[in-house]
Amino acid sequence: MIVMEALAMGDHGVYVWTVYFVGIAFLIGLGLYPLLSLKNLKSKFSRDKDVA
Amino acid sequence: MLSPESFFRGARIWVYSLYTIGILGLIVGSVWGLFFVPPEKYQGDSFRIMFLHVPAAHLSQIVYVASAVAGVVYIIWRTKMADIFMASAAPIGCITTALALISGIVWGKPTWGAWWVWDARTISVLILFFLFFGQIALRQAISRPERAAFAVSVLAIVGAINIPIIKYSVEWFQTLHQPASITLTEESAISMVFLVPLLINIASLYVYIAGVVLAWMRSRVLLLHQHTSWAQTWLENE
Repeated sequence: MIVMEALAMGDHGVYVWTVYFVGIAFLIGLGLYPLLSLKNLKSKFSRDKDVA
Repeated sequence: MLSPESFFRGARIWVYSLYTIGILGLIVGSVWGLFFVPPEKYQGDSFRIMFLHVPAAHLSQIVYVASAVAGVVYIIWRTKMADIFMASAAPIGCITTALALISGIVWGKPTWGAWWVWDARTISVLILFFLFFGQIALRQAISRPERAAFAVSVLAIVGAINIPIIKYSVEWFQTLHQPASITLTEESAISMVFLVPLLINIASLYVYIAGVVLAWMRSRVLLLHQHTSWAQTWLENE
């Protein structure tokens, strides 16, 4: 019950949690993108090397 | 001057350190702001959006100022790393500005009764978003890298005029936004109960985004130099 009240935040839970959900998704995406790009470049390099 | 190779090798430890400190700080500041701070007297719980909105809005402007400085550096000294910084900062600024706008839109509904109001602050931040987006589009549209870098530098410098407009829009124009609550020269208008988690989140987002900028720059440096001997050696050994 206490958890449900904390999540509901009066009538404002939907606004607050929407912002935090979007914010976390944006920030994680920003942080992961360059790491995945490096990983993809390494994979491409390995593939090209195998082909050669 | 820092070479791309030494930057690429040296920045790695900074990326992971800044990511770790930034993420831990954001968790602490956000959990504090969401669960351990009482509701605000007039706005109720919707004010908790502030703990993400204000840091994102602050950071977007700082990223733009840094881009404009990098633009000046590129135009004067033709420094390649300045161009790499601008190319990395533009999408990051675009996302943080989008986050500031979206969180502002969602906060506006319970606070003002409207998702969007055409006031000076919201319009100037929307222009900031288009300036970042314009930098990305301009770079994509020009095929010669040197000309693209020059054009983006000019856009970054000219667009910097928007930063003081964003800052002073709440004083120069009639707006629903409140004047700045946190200044370096005066006492904060926000109670310490709210200010501490807010400052933790602002500082942590700065640290995290510093790591993100370095990570994007590393990725771009490797992409541009993938055919050089040091990059080939790194790709082979990693």
